[in-house]
Amino acid sequence: MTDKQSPRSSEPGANAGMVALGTLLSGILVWGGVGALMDWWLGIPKHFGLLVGMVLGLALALYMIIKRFG
Amino acid sequence: MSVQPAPLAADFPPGTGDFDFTSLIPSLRGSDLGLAFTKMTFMVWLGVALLIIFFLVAYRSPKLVPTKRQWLAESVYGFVRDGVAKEVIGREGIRFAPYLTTVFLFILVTNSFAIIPFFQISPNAHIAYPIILALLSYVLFIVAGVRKQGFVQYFKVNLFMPGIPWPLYFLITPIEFISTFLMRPVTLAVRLFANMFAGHLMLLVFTLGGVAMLGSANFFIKGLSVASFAMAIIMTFFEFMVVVLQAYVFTMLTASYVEGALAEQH
Repeated sequence: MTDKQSPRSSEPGANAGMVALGTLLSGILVWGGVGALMDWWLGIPKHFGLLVGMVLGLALALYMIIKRFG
Repeated sequence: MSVQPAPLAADFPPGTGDFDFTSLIPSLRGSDLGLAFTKMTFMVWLGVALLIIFFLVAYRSPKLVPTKRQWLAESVYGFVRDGVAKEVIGREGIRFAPYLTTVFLFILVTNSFAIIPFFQISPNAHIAYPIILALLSYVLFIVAGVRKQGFVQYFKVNLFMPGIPWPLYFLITPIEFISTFLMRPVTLAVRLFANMFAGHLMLLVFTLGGVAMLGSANFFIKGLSVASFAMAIIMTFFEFMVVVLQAYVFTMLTASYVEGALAEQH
């Protein structure tokens, strides 16, 4: 029960919500993933690359959402 | 150790091995072909056959004043065409209505096996079926977009957001790519699979739990099994709601992806 879409009434809002959620998740996933790979490749201690990547991805995703809907 | 409850067909603590369905045809067991004739595939064939027969019978001699069956068939198609295709995609959506209706009814029927006695599990609780359904929708929305806008334009619209400074494309295009071309099919498949699988486990927990409690030596625990069975019945009604809702959500999301692919910009 991940989707609580009520039929017919809230289509534009629900779609925008799905897009925003997808963007947020992929932002964190992509750049967090790149950061984790950097950690592994360069041997950066304490998951520093992963953390920086996730924050960067989150910031970028927020920027995209604001650009698209704001 | 409690007494082994008698009425269970499977081994009592059910395990993941219960999801390795064996062939219904004994002589094919163990061979690759055997996997084509399991309980899962039987349910899919049955569902498809039911749908085909229903629509053939309903439209055998269409009347201007529809019969009851024809009315049912027409109203289901009308619901998806007007309520999903037209509403989400717009006027262009009508040509996607047959696909959307087929997907909606296929998922509805196959999901329904989750609560039909003796079947008790939906084929969609096996990730293979949702994956194929999601791939169909995935190919559909990409092909629809490419045919509408051309290959280059389609990917330009989807990967390069307008109105941002160009160095940011290095950072943002990977996100766009993942969210449009990877997250969409994955979430489509996983949502359907996880809902049906979780529903199956939920029903199992309360039903098997009830049986196990009934087999207990403790009188108090034995009595409590009634609550477990009552919960199983309530959960079956809840599962019915999930069955319908997930079929609707899958159709709705497919339509909204097609709409996004047809749009000149989002």
